[in-house]
Amino acid sequence: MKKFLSSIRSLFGDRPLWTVIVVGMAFVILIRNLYTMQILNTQEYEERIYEDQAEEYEVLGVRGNIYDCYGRELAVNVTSYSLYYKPDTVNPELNDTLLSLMDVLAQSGEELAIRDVLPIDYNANSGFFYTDRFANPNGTARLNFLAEIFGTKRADLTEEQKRTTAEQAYQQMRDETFSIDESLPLETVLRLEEVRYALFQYRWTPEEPVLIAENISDRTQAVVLEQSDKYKGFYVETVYSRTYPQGEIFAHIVGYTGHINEAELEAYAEKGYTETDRIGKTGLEASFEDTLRGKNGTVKVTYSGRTGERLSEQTISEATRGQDLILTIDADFQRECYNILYQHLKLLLLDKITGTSEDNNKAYSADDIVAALLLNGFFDTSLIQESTLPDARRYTEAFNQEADTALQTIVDTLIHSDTLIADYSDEMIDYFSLVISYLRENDYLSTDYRNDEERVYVRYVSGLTTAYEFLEYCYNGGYFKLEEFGLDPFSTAEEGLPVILQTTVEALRHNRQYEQMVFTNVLRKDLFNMRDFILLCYDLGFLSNEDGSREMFSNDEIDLLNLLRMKIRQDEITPGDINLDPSSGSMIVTDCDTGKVRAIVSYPSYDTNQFLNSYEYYEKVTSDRSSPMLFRALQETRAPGSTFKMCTSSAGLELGYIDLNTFVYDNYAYENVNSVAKPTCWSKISHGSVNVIGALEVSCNYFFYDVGYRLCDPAPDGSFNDNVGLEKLKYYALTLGLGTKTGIELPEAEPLISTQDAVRSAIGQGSHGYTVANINRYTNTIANGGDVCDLYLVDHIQNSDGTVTYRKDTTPVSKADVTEEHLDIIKEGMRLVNTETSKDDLEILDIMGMKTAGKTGTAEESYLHPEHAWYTGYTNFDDPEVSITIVIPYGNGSDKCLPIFKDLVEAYYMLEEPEMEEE
Amino acid sequence: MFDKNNLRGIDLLLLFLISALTFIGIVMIGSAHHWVLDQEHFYLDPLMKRQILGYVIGMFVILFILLLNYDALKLIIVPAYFGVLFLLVIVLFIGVGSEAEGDDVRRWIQLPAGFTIQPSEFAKIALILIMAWFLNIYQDRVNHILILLVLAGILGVPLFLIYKEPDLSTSIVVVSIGFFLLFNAKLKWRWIIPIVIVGVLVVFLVYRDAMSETPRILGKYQVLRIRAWQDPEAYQLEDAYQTIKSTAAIGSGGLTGVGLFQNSGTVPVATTDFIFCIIGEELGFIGAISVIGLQLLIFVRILFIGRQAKDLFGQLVCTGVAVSFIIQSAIHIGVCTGTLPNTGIPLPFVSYGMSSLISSMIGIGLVLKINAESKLDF
Repeated sequence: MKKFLSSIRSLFGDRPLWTVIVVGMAFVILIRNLYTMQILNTQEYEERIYEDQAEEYEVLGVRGNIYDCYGRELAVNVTSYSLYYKPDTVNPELNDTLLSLMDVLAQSGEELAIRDVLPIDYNANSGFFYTDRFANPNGTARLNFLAEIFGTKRADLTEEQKRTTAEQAYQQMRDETFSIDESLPLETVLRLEEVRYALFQYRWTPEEPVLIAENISDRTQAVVLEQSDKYKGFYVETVYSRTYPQGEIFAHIVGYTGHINEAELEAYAEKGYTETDRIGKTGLEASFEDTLRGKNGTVKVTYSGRTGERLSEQTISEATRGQDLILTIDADFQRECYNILYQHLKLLLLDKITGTSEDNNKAYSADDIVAALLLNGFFDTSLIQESTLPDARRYTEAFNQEADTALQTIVDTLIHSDTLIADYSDEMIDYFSLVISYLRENDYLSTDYRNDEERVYVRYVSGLTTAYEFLEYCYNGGYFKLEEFGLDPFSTAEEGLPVILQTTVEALRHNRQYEQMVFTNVLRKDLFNMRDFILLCYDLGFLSNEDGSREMFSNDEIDLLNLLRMKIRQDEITPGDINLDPSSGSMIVTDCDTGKVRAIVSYPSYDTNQFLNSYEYYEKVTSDRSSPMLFRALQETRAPGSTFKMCTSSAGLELGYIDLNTFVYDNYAYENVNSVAKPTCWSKISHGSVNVIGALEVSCNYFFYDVGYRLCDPAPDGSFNDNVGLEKLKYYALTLGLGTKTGIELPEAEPLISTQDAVRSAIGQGSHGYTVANINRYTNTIANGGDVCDLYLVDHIQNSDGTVTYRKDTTPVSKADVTEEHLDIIKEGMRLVNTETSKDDLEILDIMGMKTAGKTGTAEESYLHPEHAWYTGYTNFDDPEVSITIVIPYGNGSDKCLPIFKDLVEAYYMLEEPEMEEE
Repeated sequence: MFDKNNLRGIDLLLLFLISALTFIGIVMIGSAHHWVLDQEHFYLDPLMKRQILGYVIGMFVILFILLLNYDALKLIIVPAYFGVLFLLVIVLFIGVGSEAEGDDVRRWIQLPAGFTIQPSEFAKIALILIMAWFLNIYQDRVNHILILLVLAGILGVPLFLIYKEPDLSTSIVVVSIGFFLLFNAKLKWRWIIPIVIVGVLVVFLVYRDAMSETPRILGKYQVLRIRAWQDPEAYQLEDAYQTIKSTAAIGSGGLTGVGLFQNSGTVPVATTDFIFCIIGEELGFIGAISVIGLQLLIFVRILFIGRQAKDLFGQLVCTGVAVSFIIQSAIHIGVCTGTLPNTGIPLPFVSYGMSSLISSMIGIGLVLKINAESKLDF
């Protein structure tokens, strides 16, 4: 027994034995599991080997549409195909693949979506050159680019590499970086380099697809899909893109959608946007993105591992259809209004094209127009340079010489000249401004130099310094980014400025604006004959000869002035193309009682369809200096001029400073001001004694100066504080709905209520700034007896099945703190404006039985330009229906707006309901 | 330092057993890497070539160890330990990760010609050596708290570095080695039992925490793996993917397997972490059991050699090598069969990996040396 027990004990103590036992137990479990898997359940596992592959697919959501008030389409979906490429695809023949692809696209007239990416460019005249900010040889942009193509780091670039010319860069990319076939034509190689370079930018995120082409045809799609091994890594996605049937008429209102970019993707990440989504960029497409958007859904499809057939489909998240917007606007009326504004602008411009140049843009000669067309790119200087026509070459030669000499002149003048900037020739001023904008836009010069405390700056603003003084001020103030020019922070202006300027002018040599300026100057200096130039324009296709005008011109049957006038009348050249005052305008028509928008127009505009589909058009629109993309009606604030007088009247009447029996004698120049200069009435002939109604009728400035003065509660000795009066004017501007945003569903500029000079502010000068919408809203308040309403464009929102999910609540947002009695007084004044003062233009309305009222406004903003032309008015006087507000910046006199108002009122009343179109 | 007489008394059986296992491994690696045995245009799969190279290098290392004098052997223990510590530290800075996990995980040091070295593999050997040596010297005071603390330190530092890589599976193996060495050094039950209880408790708590709503202890990847282990269906497209594929492969092998080189190709990472699945799939239950049997034989043989060792040092080295080997096998097979949550660990001698093969052979070399030494005395 003892032996047994002791042997048990020694067993217990046999540690190795225990080790084996523990290990053994573990393996028993494992073997048992193996038995279960391989013997008992082997069938089950056998099947499982070939089991289900589950894959998730995206189901596209459908975006809601935008319609006018009668259901006409303004923004609708259209299926289109986008071609993408996965940069992580391994394809040693990538260049060949791209060449074939470009061929295929060209056959269907399609373009690659990759543009403007390459830091170098080529034209027949200048050869190879660096573009934009890459033009600076010491700049980080250029060095980063060189590092990329030499496959090294910026810090490791050799001196020789840093000096790479544009042509050498082209060769480097062709031979080394991208291994492109040398024997291909230059244009093709350059294009390939651009695409390869663009793809190269995606090397940090190789899984992210790159958009190669949009809106490809069925044919292109078929080719890519059928030859999928040739086009490895390319795939086609069906996307819903948009078409805008009304084009430029609704461009600003409706806006457009585009591919989502990185910044937007980050901001909207939680809402489930992916890289290939489209998103509203401007207009209602953007502000109602959430409502319009159709969310993509996900579907999980399971395939049998063995047979590959589709086993089941499971919806993980539903794709949604966005909601539709129904606007308040009638497309026909909007179109009418747009055309009316355009036609009148055209006429105004034609009136100014008299053949003689007048200062401050008061009148234009034929040469002025040609110069303007060159500067705005209507006559495309790149095409001139690329053309092989003998005249074009001659012109380009002259341009080359002038371009080079001008550069030196610029550097010379800026550094050595003692002439004050104010005394510069027009030519030199333009060049100087270009130099400064180039430096600012590329961040080489910080705008902090705009410091009102610095005397040099203050003098500079008035042109009372030399260029060198100003540049030296900037240099010593540390406003230049010296590293970009390879300059030592301790260098002096004397050392550094020549470097900066030399680098800048070299960069400018191929700057488009500079080229345009020089081409213009070549004509101006008669280094190339104007007549030859016009004929060249026909040959290059800038002007059309369908009207036989080329022969008429070359036969001297028509001179240049009349030729241009003819082209403008025929709408071949538009005010927007010329971009000389007046080249823009905006107007708005709304319901007096509710703020419902009937029409809202901003000229110039652009065609959103072409904008999205043609790169050429896109470039033209984005570089057009008349800013067609700006929604002036909501975004451009201008001094209102006399249209502000109703506000001043309200302040005066309500606060008891004036009443119906307050008469003021118009003495022309008003003395009670805090400034040295005395403001005057617009009319040199006194208006005599007028009360508020009379003052409004004739728009007497003197009367309102006095009201402004009184509002300041002047002391017995006549001294006063402007702010006292300004506060009161501000109060009434706010309560009448003038000084606050209109509440419309699109982004608006913030209105500016004047903070300077109460007396001048009372007549709408000072520092006021309002949009046409602001003025219109306050006109409504006056017309409807004091209800301040928000302006609105969207009448209602509905689901795809027609259920209305939102309808605008038209209750007024507030009541103006002005009695109806006082408003009636003001309205009477406005009525008389239309029936008496503006009789010549508006009498016809009266005769036709439309009783209207309104107010003209002429606002001075800059002595270099004509005054703004404003008009705001409403119809019907007895029972106000709609109000109309028009502004033509630099239109030179409010009377210019009157014919527009007349035409608009007529158009409004002639409106018919359209035949209901079948959906 | 060297003596050719040392070559006498080599245990050829053990040598044969591990060579057989390595051979099976090489064939399985080829199969897993889709190698084709083409008699006409014979070529060797590159992975197979490397494994063979590793085996040859390993044999030279074994030769070297055998030729070394026993006492000389003991001299290199401490330098080896610190050398390994150094490698473990620098791998945290300049190390690279696997293709699957990227550089969040740093387990290998890149060498020229595309070779890599995995410090944690060599750490196991160094640890076995230094702990055996230490325990041998202080074997009478093994139950003393001070001794235990020092041992904890010797073990703890490399353990911590390995855990930081992160390499959880190797950490577990290291802990097991430590435990079994202490166990075989006759640490009293009064220490063993609490350690076991604490160990079980820790595992249980970690498991509970990982399955709860707010896991706090383990890292994100490990939590996901534990959850995927418990509910493979729910995670079938992500973390449970490997387990589902690997168990399916084994199960589909049935009794006799689908045949050599006939694997379905559905097993992921088949040349390393899931090579047992290839064995199970191609050779079936019979093949799997045979391989397990081979491994257990090796295990027992090493322990037997240890029993006959001339001092505690020799015995513990053998125990350490045996335990390291068998625990790794058990974990590997456990993962392949879904018995354990997914964790990457090679099957010794079988899985592709030169560091693993060479360090395993170093272990065998040590065992053979100890065996030879014990025979010399008789």
